[in-house]
Amino acid sequence: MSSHPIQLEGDNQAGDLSPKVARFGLGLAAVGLGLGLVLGFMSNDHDAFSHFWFAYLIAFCFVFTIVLGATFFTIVQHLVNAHWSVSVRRLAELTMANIPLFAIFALPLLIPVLSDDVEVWKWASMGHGHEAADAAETAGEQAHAGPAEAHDLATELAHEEHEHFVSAKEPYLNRTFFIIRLFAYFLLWWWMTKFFFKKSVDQDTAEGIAPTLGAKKISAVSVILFAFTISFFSFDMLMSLDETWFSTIFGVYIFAGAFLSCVCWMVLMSKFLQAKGKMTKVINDEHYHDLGKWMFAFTFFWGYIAFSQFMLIWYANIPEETHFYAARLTDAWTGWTWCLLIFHFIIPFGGLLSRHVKRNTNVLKYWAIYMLVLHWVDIYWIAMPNYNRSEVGASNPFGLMEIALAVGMFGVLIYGVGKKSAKQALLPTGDPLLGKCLGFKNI
Amino acid sequence: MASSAIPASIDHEDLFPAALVQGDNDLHSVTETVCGVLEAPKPPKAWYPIFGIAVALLGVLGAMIVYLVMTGVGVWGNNQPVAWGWPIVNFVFWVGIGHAGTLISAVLFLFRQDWRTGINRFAEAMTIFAVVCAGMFPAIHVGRIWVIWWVFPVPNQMSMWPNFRSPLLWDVFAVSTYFSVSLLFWYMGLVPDLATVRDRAKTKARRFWYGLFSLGWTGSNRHWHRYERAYLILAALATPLVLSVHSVVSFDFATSQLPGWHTTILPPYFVAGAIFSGFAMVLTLSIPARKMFGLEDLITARHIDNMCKVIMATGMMVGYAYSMEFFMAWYSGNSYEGFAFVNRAFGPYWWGYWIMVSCNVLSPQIFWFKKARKNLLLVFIISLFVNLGMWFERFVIVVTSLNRDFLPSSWHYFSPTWVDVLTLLGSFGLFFTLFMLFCRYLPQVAISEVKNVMPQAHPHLDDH
Amino acid sequence: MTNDKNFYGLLAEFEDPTALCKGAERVRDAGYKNWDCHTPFPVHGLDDCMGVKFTRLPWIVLTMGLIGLATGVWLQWWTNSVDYAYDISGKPVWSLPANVPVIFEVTVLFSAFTAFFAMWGINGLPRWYHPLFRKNSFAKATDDGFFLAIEAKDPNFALGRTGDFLNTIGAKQVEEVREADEPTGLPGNVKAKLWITAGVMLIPIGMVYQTWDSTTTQPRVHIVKDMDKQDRFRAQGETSFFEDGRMSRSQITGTVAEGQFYEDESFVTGKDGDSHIAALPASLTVDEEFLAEGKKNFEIFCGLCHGNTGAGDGPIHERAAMLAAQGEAKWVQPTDLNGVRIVGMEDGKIFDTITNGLNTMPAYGGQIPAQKRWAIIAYMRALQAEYGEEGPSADELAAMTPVERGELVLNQQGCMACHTTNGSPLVGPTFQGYAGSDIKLTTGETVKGDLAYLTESLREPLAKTREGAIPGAMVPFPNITDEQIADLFEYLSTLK
Repeated sequence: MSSHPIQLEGDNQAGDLSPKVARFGLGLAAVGLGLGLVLGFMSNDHDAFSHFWFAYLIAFCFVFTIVLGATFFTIVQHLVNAHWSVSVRRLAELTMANIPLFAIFALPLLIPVLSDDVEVWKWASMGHGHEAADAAETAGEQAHAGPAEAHDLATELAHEEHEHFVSAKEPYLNRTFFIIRLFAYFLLWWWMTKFFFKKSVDQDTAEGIAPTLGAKKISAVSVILFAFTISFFSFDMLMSLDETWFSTIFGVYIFAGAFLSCVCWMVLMSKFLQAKGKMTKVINDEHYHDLGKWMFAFTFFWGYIAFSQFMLIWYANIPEETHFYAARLTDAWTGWTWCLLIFHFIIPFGGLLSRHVKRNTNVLKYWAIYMLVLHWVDIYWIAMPNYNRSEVGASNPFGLMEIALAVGMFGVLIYGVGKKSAKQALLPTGDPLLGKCLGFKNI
Repeated sequence: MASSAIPASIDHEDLFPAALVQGDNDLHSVTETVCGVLEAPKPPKAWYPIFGIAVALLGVLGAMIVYLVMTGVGVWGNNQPVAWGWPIVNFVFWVGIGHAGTLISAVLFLFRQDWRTGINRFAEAMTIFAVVCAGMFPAIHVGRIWVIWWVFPVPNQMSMWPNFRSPLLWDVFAVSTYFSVSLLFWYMGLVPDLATVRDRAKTKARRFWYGLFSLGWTGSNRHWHRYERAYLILAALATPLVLSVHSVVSFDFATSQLPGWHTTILPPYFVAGAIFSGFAMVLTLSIPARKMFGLEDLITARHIDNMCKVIMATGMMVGYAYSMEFFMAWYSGNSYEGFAFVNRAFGPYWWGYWIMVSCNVLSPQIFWFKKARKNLLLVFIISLFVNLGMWFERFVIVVTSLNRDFLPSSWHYFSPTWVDVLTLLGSFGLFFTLFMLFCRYLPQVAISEVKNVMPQAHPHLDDH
Repeated sequence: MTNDKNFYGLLAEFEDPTALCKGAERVRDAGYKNWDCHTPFPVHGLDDCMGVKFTRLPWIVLTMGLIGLATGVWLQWWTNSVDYAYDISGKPVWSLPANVPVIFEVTVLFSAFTAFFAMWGINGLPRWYHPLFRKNSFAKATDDGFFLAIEAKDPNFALGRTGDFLNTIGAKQVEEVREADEPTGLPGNVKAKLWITAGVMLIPIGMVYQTWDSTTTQPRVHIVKDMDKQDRFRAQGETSFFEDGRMSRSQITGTVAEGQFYEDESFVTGKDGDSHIAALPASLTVDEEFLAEGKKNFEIFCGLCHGNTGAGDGPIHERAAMLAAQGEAKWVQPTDLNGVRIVGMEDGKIFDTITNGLNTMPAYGGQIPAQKRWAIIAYMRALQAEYGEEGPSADELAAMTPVERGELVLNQQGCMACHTTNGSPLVGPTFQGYAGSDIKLTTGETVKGDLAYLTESLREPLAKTREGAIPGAMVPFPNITDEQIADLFEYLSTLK
């Protein structure tokens, strides 16, 4: 029926590693975010302010999706009574526990939402700066009464159509509701992660298995709530950057990237801890093999979702949707799109196929870093083409600022995990399935 | 450093579920139970009427096909703008059902879900028969069935090749690949069990036929080694294949520009729906069958319980897709898209939409309660609801999207003809005829795989 | 080793998987090579105990999977963009995204078939007979028995020693296994039946192949009524339904179909009374937009045969001329629209030709609205302004000999489209030896190829039909003058 009593071996406490990691993360965050800010100010880009906020949003989404992936990972392990993952589950829990920290880092994003001068979510200023813009336009028209006739009809029609699409969405895409939604997501996630984290830690010292059963009870509902919140979060944060574009699969697409990067992050954490002499007896090749399988499976799943989305939009070629790919398959963005296909799908698919790679943790580690970088490329590719998209032959503004902000935001995650790891063991020592977890073998 | 002891023994049925094989069974009695069914001189009494009805319906199907081929597709209700009527609804319905088998065999195998061993043979057989039913519909839908081979890249007298840019041709490849791979997978699983039947055979005919199809299997461990590896590879291949097949079926719809069909979530939504309906069909079949053939020890309450949970989960995914479609139809700001969805829920076919929602999203909600999952009659009824709901889902997708097209003057209320209805019933005849024959002549449970998950099967090697 | 040729080896039964694994370890360590365990299910851990090498199957599957991938790409590329490239709704013939699903399916198909067949192949199965099957106790190997068999051909094998060894490692029972004395293959009659079955199965395949390879003038056999045998009214068909026996119905006298009433009749006929109008109807204004419309329609409808510059060299011509050169078709080059004849033709006549067709040119009246037909003519005139030929001036003509003028007429009027001067018949008869020859008519009479007959042929070609010719294939040339006919006859007289 149940496992043999097992005496846990090895050092499974973060101990004094915790403050070290936190200090390192804090330094990285300060340097990265600081450098990004300075570069943003120094930039002589024509719309430097918007550029900075785009880069910040990308960095935020890149790291925060890892946190969301970890949330899902934890919940779903409870839901299906998974035993293989017990020894690495606490790593995901330490990651997801940083929702409040990232809520703080989401606050600056209210500036581009509320400011009329920053063009990140263009719908935001469309609604409110409307009268001002109209007034300016009228004034301009009066000043140049002559060439008003030469106004291009096509442009005007396109503009009207655009207006129609945006005004149709106004009940959803407006500043007030957007901010309310954002708060709602974070509140819900905060509650969810707090609940699961607490249950897991409680189990470490509990007599029976009540905390585990408690977590299990809530897990099914949590998964449903999570599915909807991450979908709408991705619609709000990323899809609405292009206020006319829409894709029903978009939430699943972001979810695939989130889960994939979370698994990569867990591989890196395990390798780091083992290099420091922690968890050496409780995480073995079998666990890495399974994490590797998830990396492989979600590389494939991401490719499947990305292809489904591309294929349907490309094939039907309806102007309302196809402009998303049209923009990304022309000029400066063509290379990035191909880069995603080749480096985010084809190469890791081939690279992670073999079981030898998945069991060779030193190789797997590099694949994890690689996939995390590609996850950033993915987010960048979704968001950045919306910056200066109205210009003909828009360029790709990629530069040091983007890198600095992404690295800085990653520092925040490292800091948060370092901080959280101080108080409890690095694995759920009291989990009833731990024995099974340590004993299983892949066929 | 701090290290803690794992609680020595916990008794909890979710975390440490009951043994997969119930009752007082050992390796030999499992063989006896499964082989007993096909070695019995006569099948259970209930087998005859079911088989009789199934064969009668099969005859109806044959008559309908002959009538159709001799007369033309005008005998169906299909007419502009609803050019795809019941035949395509039935095709997608059966293909969907045909997903559970491979999913159970392959995906659950990769997820190390041991409980699959009790039902996988069953489900795989069901898959193959469902795909046979499914493949029939597009074939007869072309009207001139004698030139159906033009869909394959075979040189023909016109020196023409099929158009590989068409989603309908992808379908040909996806469904035929799926059928072939499922068949191989099923047969490969059968071989060791056929060897068991061969070794127990009392008559010469049995020894010959089961001997022929068991390929001379000796249970050699060197063979088992490669066999298991091949099984794993097939499982790993079948998993993306399952995803691809229903995705490709969804491409038939979603690559078009028709509001209600063209939506990017359709591929994963179709896959989830397929798993959903497939599991429902497995339940519909296994609940009576385990009783009829005395397999209650092998297909236990735990199997049923797990399947209920899968149904609930996939039902929820389908519900997610329904709501995303609705949201996006509004969010897109595209009035055609918006109209298509309002028309679904409140247009002439509102009843189809609400049957779909209540059967697929609402009815499985009862499985939140453990009591409901333990009540076999209730589970059986819900599984029937899900089957019904999934048929209506395809009906809603096909018919409501088409019946009000861009040109209001051509709007048309689709109604099926009696040929449509009898063809659908006849396809059930085909399915159940094959299934009842399977129950009678082949091992219904994967004997060697079930033995493999019994406690007796594991060597206790302390030094390993 | 043993000297007994029929001796296969020793079969030992073990109590349970644990005993078998422990025994297998001992056998492995004792250095045996030709031995195996037989179990009703794969016992996990037994591979290690036996020291089974990891199979190379995954690599075989990977290789075949890659071959499948390449096949999927190649199949679609070759069939759709090389061997039979056809345009469907303007989609590119080779577009990778649309080919991905089939590539994927073919890859999976190849890999799965390889995994399945290679596994049986490496295992040496199917195999109908095995010496172990001769032991009744071995039937338990597929039920609940756990066996270990060592073959006699193993270099370490020695009957007594190996038997003792098996007993010491925990075997419950050890048996000697001997090969059968009688032949173990398939019985002769089964073999013969199999061969006959295989032969019979080849017959339909052969028939299909034979059908592919042969041609026939017979229509296909229709198992059921096919679409090429529909009940329908054909334009010139007969029917008993209507009193006059015709399928087509003419417009009811005194009625005008909706949208077909025109104030200016010549706008839709190109005629004023019986004569063609010389210029575009006055209601039309030729401006840039009108010409652009003309260009668009010219290139859609006319350019395919006549070429986009009107030179009579469109893509259909090129392909047909190529086939004609290979002897696979008969082909008359489309008229050069920039030739003197067309340059000099009335607009109304051109309009009439577009509307109703001429010779091999079909009628386009039903497809192109009148306005656009006029636009096409306007555009044709623009093309002629660029490329059009001009005939010699009146003075130059006067200076030429009648024979030279006759040759000019021959070329300008496009006679050479159907006739030749070198003796080989094309659509019509050759002109070589025309003058003064005896020409047999369908009526049985014979006429001389003289000026009078030539004039009649050009003015009223239907008056007399030469034997063997298609009535109406020759069109009237009303614009040609009597002087020109005389010159033409002079020229034809020189062709002996």
